[in-house]
Amino acid sequence: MPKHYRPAGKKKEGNVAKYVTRSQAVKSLQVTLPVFRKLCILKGVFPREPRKKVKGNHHSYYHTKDILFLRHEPLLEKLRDIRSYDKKIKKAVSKKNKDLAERLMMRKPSYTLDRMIRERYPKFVDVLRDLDDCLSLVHLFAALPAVDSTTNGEKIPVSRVHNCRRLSYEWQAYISRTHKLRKTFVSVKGIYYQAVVEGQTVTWLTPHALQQVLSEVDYRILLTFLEFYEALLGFVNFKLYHSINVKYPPILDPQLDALAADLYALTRYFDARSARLGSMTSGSDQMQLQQLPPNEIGSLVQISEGANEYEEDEETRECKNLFKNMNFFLSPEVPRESLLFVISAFGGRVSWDGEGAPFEESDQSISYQVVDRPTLGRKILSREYVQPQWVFDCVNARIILPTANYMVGCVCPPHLSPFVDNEAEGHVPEYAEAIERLKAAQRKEVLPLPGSGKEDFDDPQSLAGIADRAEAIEVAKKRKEMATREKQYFDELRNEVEEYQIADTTVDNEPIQIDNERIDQDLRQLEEDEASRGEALMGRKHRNILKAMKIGIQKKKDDTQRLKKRQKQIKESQVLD
Amino acid sequence: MGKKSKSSRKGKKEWRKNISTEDVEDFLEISTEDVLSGGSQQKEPSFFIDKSVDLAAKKKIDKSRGKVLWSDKLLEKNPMVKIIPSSTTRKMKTNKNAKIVQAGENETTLQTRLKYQNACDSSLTDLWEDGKDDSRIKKKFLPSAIPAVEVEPSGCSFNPDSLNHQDALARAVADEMQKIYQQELGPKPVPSVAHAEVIDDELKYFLEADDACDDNEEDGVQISNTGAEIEKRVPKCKRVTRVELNRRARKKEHLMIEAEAKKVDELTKSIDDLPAILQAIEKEEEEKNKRYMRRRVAKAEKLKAHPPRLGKYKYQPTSLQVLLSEEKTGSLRKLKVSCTLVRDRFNSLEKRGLVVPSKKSGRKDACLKPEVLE
Repeated sequence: MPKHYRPAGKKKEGNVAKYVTRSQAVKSLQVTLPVFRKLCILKGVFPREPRKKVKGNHHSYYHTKDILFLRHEPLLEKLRDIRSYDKKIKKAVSKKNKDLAERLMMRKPSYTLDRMIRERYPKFVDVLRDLDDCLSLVHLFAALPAVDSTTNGEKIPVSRVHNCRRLSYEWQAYISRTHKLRKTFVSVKGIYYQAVVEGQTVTWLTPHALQQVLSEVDYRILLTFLEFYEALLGFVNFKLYHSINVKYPPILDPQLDALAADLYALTRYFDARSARLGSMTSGSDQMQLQQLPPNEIGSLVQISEGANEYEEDEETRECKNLFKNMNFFLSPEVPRESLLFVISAFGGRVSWDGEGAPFEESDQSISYQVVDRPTLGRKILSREYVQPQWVFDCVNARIILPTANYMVGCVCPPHLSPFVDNEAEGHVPEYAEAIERLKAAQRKEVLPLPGSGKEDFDDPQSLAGIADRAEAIEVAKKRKEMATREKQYFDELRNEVEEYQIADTTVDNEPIQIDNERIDQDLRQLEEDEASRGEALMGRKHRNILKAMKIGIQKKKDDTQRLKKRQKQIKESQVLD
Repeated sequence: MGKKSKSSRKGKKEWRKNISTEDVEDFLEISTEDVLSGGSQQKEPSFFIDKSVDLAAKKKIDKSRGKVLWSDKLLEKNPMVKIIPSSTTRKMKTNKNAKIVQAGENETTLQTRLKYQNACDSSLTDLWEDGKDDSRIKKKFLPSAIPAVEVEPSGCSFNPDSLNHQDALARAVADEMQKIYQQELGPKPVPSVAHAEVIDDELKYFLEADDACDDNEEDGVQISNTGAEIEKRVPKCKRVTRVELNRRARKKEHLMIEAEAKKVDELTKSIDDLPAILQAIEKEEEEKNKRYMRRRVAKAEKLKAHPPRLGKYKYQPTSLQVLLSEEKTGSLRKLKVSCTLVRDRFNSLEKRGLVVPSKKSGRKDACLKPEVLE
């Protein structure tokens, strides 16, 4: 009898049936490995880790169902066709048939990714969730040097880089126009931005605009990802632009386009659209850019409201008014694109030194000039000279910080990360506290704070963590009554004792001290009682989790205590020096 | 019948001689005349445009397209009723690649529009129009819970707060030291060059001699032992008698009875101990469960930091990009950008399990800085 008997017709079962190795998958799909990789990336199929790796630890495993899904993908056929077409071209080239090769290259078959995108992201919300990676990759490639030669397998076509740049500028223009930017953080790696689009937070990372060196990575994989993300971002931009009633793809002033001032050109485009929509006339006198086709006006009249009136929530309004009516001028040594984006996202007007800029350096209305030099030649008194960090810090703090610390030649205060919740960490850097104080000061000017507001910080009850303050106040009142009654009792006792003339100092001192301590003790007791009541109701599991949590919290507290001690020591040693 | 009778070969092979070449000669004459005279003397043109129109191949469907419903036909007499044909003609396919010039568009805008049209081959539409809810599409399985863009801690800023900077530096140093310790504590690799002394031929014999001596000694002792044993064993082989056999059988029975009694004893003991046994079982199960939970939690924790083992090579995370203390200038202009974001993005893809780590990705990256231990 055979060892493993399987009835006829029954297929494999268990892990063997559920997972296939990569080589098995490639064989079953009858494609080459690079094509398989590309298809997987475009389709969103990735390797899994099975419980038991039947063919060994050195293979990568895919779900059988995923591979079957791939088999019915029409893109597979398309890729096969492209491959055979490439063979034809290669043949023509090697036969020195230039004519045929050129003709074939003109009519090369191609594919589109709309259907794929629609499959992977049925709703727009899904796209917004996945937009982080897409934006980061597109912004990265926008800053890379294009390498068209096939040395070391690196081939980054120029057209792709330009496309990425265009897409990234369009996205930035949208965000700055709709004032959706919330946080920025400049780190060693690059600049992090966070925006809120339709309720979803989108965080992305852009490289510093300095020369990026290409490292040893598999660029074919990255380029496939980029292909997918480019298409995705294109559609996202389309949808977002349409949601604010702006035509996509935007037609830019070619003069500005040629000067590579793409972001500025896009903002001008937005302004032109809004100006025209505001006017609602069929005349073209208010148009700033004459090259735009006039037949758009007819369609515009039908559009009810312009780009200005979309739903603005509180935060957007706050961001819009941060740099309102302020004019900035950027020196050539500062990161121009980043600052252009950030400043216009918060309502300010920017200019720089170059052709096509909105206003000159000598313009009188400039309120801030951003420089990054060790010393400054001549200063114009009507404007303030600040370092670029000032802009980023203002944006994170949402108030206009005093520029004294950011003057030319000063060492700026530390640039803090807005992504870190200082209260949660426990340790609040000094500069953060300073900013908080400034914020509070500003808020006081605007709104008179209620009387009890300031005391909240000093109230021991809030620190003790009693949830219901009303309850605690009642309790405190009760305790006070009890304390007064106790005091009375002890006074009477004392009188009695004095009558008997027993010199007992401890009895005298105790009742006076007891009062203050007792209240604190009682409050603590109340808190502990409540906590233990809750604990007793939980099961063992929850209690253990609570214990673990408490240990973690205690650890954090210890850390902050240690840091504070160290700070004190450093200060003392500095004072001594 | 044998061979075919020899018929006249005039037709078969003589035809070459019998072809008349008159028309060819005529044509050549005429063409040369034309060429020499500079014009066609022929009235007939050699090429003409065929304007004849074939009857269009009528498709079967066209027949039924013309038909109209009987009821509609009856109502035809009523001018108020509009007749609806039974099938609609196929819509005209729009030629996407054709250059459609819009009225009033001038050259520059046309160029820009074409640039974008050709750049994104797909026609841009709103893919996510409201109402199109495809319920067939199942829930997407996320490869990992690691977010795509992880923001670095505060100490990695270009102008960090001193305490945060110390924290971040400490973390970076710890990572580096971990790697160093792992290398040190691991097993020593096999040396490529082994220490060896050159042994001459004479010494080789001595070595062999030593070994041979030992062998002989051992053999000698063994031989002597076996000899004694063999002598002893030989007389002992006697025949097993009936007495012996009966004795053995009785013993066997006794043993079996005793074993059964023992079993019964043990059973009664275990029944008495039942609650204790149950407790022991419970404890074991608890232990098992705890271990299981611990392992699951540990696995989940591990998954938050790096991907499961997907291929031949392990995932190697990139080092934390922090400014060294001497590099901390606080100026954006003087920021030394040594890291490339490409490597970081690729690492992020690997971390989320979308790309299988390869041999190259594990190599030391260019942005590994020599850490100054404080």
